[in-house]
Amino acid sequence: MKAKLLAFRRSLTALIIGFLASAVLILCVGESPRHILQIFLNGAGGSAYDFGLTLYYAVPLVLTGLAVSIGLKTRLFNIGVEGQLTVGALAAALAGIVGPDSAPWNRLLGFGAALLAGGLWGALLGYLRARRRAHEVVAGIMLNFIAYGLTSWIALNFFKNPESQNPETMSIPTGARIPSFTFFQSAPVSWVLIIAPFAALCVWAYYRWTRAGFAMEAVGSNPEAARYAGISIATQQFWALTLGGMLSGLVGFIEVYGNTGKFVVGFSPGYGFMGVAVALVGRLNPLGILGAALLFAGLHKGSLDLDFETEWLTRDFAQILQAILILFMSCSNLIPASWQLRIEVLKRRLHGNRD
Amino acid sequence: MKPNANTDAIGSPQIAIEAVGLAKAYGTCISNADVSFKVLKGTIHGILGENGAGKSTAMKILYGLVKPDLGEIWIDGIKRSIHSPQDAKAIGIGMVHQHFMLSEAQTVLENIVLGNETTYIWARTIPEPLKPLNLDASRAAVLKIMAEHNLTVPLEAKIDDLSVGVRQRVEIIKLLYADAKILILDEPTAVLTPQEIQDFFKQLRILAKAGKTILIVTHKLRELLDVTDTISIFRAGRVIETVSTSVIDSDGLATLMIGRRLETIRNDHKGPTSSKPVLTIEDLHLSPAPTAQQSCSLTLFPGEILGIAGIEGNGQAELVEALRHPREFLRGHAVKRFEFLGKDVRHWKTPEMVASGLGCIPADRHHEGLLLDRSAVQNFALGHENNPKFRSGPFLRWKQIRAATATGMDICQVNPRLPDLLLKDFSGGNQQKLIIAREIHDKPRLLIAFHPTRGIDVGAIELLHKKLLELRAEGMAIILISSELEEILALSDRIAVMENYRISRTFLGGRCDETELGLAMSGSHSDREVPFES
Ligand SMILES: Nc1ncnc2c1ncn2[C@@H]1O[C@H](COP(=O)(O)OP(=O)(O)OP(=O)(O)O)[C@@H](O)[C@H]1O
Ligand SMILES: [Mg+2]
Repeated sequence: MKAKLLAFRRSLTALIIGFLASAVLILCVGESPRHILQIFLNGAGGSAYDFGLTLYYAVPLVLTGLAVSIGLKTRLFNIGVEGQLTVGALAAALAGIVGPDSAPWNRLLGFGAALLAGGLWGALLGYLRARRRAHEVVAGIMLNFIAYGLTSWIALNFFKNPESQNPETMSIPTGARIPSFTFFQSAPVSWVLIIAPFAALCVWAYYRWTRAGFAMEAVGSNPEAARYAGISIATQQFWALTLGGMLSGLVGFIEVYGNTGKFVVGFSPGYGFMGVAVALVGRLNPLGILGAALLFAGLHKGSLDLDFETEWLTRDFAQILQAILILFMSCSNLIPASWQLRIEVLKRRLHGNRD
Repeated sequence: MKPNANTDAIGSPQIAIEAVGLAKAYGTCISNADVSFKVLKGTIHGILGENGAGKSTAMKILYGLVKPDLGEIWIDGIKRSIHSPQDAKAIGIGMVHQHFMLSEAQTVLENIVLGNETTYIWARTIPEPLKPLNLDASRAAVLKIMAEHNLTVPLEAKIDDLSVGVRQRVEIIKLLYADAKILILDEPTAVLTPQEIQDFFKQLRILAKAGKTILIVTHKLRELLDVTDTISIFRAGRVIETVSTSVIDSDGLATLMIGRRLETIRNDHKGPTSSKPVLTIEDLHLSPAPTAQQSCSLTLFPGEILGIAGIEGNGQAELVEALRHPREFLRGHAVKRFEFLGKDVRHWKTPEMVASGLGCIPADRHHEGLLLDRSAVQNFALGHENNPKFRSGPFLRWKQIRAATATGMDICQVNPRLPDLLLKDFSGGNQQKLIIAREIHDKPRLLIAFHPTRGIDVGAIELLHKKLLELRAEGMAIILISSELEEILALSDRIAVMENYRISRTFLGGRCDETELGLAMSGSHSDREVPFES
């Protein structure tokens, strides 16, 4: 418990320092940090609509963040998330197109198909890594390419929407699409939103309560001790990548059922890669990942207004900001060390201890 | 003539280290309350105390790894504030830690020279970080140290591939190489064989004569009496007494340390409780490339302690590996019969072995036994996730595990008794006690105790030995592998000597003595042997 609190405090310090550094950067380009902050806050949560869009961006990031974090738990870098979510999306769309017209069944089928397809794509990576000793990063990147090519081919050759100029499939039945909240006005936030916190909760419970989750954490903590205890490292790594694939596949379901209603080639603006940042900033903790995903989504949404509202900054600034934050998060362990010394000295002075 | 190196110009002895009132608390846990002692230059100073008494913490303070809350350190008569190991090294203090701190992916030589690299003469003007390493010069220097001190290590091997014994030697050579004047050794002998310890002590004496000051933490009373000049006794974070070694004996030390005398514990040799063997092994090839004679056979009955004596690296680790992971191990090693509780277990995996009643105290607790960044409760579940008491379906029952942890901590007296404390915050001995508690809590049918008393204090050893005999009387079969011959002799019903991947000799417990066993281990014969299947 105490260790978790400490990790949380460290993340927070890192964030604050990251924001301060960004403020300096903003000053350097001749803008007022306060003004920029205002734009960001307004853009990300100024109205129900804006906040709705922030949530809309956050949902896939939660899932990909979780997917990456499970891999990292077993010391694997799951870079295949991007491919897994593409495969998941196509599977969801196809299931929706060929599936029954009854909405609940259609949705269930789409959900299952996305989970299964993403999981299988993840399992393939897991198999290559755990049994065939392929490097997961190389294999992951290759599988991403294959997934991209394969899904485009299937989508455009067999299920292309004849009425559209865009590279996309036919639509799933309109009735099967999941309705949006009216609360967020016209923002495309549908009920699929709840998948994100639910998934985070599931992952948390998995680590906390299940034997398999415990074994996975043991592998991450000390592989040698885990092996001695009779936990197969290869098996855990396989399952970590498979579970990651399932979570990624859900991104596809959300995209198809909650948003566009069809599979659009290249729909992901790099959710998989942002998932890496989310997982790291969230420190592999499911709750932390929820927070990190919201933060990144907010940064993304908030930056969209930079183009109009400022003279010098464009929306690309959000990427710089993200990079700065990640940088500080990844070295935040260093920061408290030097602070601690100072705090220590201060404490001693206060206690009148002459050194 | 020059004045003696260990005295100042006038001839009175110099104080090399003086600790005054060192104190350190972690939250509510007071690790050091008041640690004060003096060590004269050129002497060997022993540190003794129960597990968790604060010995390692005090040593870490001297080495700059831990910042004391209070207190002063004087080195050679000058008050120093040591904020980091760099500070410590700069004033000539070196330390070997209780748990190794070597870089596993690098070679022995690289580890030794790390932080004290030699460079080429022509490279003097190149900025420090870019200087090319002159590993040849370093190698020559290290070889010289190795020859001088009669310590050999394979310089080009990766640390990863070395046994614990060799790793310890590397640590010691590293210190010598760094040319420290004050050597702090936290349980350096825990992993050495008796012969190695003798050599090592000879070396320490020579070093002390040459003016080095040595602080040595150990739980072995005999060693303290053997090698030290003075001894400080720690209890609950305080130095309660510093005595001169010449005026005390081991009873006196034990009394000072735990407040009472030690009992002598002996096996009553009642014999097995049943004639159905727990373990039957026939012709197991332990060596990776065995020759004809290198096979190992043994039978073990319930209620019997089989002591395995032998020099480290003669197949003990492989035997444990075979029992722990039969399927994996036997894939590469031939065996004629391999039965556990009457069942052929050649294809069994670890969880099946554990479920049928195998407990295992590993030799290297940090590598094989523990998750250091997890709590005691989580560590208690490790390897026992499938225990029906601990699970329901796919879930773990943390309440039960927590209860079992609390009981286990009581039985083995793990201190502090905080099930949620991270394992790395327990003292070394208490980590070991927690592993023991975990491995015996479920009353396994066969317990493998591989160096079980490594790092635990004499009081706790007494407790563990009593416990092992008690479990034996209840019908547990125990394989005790240890480099402490005394321990083997006191507890074993039968003793097997392992040499060159086979069991070379066997003795009945209580029918041989230390010299005889020592001779057998080094390969000489004796006439009191008995055939193994008696
Ligand atoms: N980081 C920490 N947080 C909390 N408690 C700690 C921490 N480090 C040490 N302690 C506590 O301080 C006490 C003293 O520990 P220390 O390691 O100095 O014992 P020790 O005398 O070396 O024991 P051993 O013989 O078992 O090695 C222990 O009770 C330990 O739990
Ligand atoms: Mg210690």
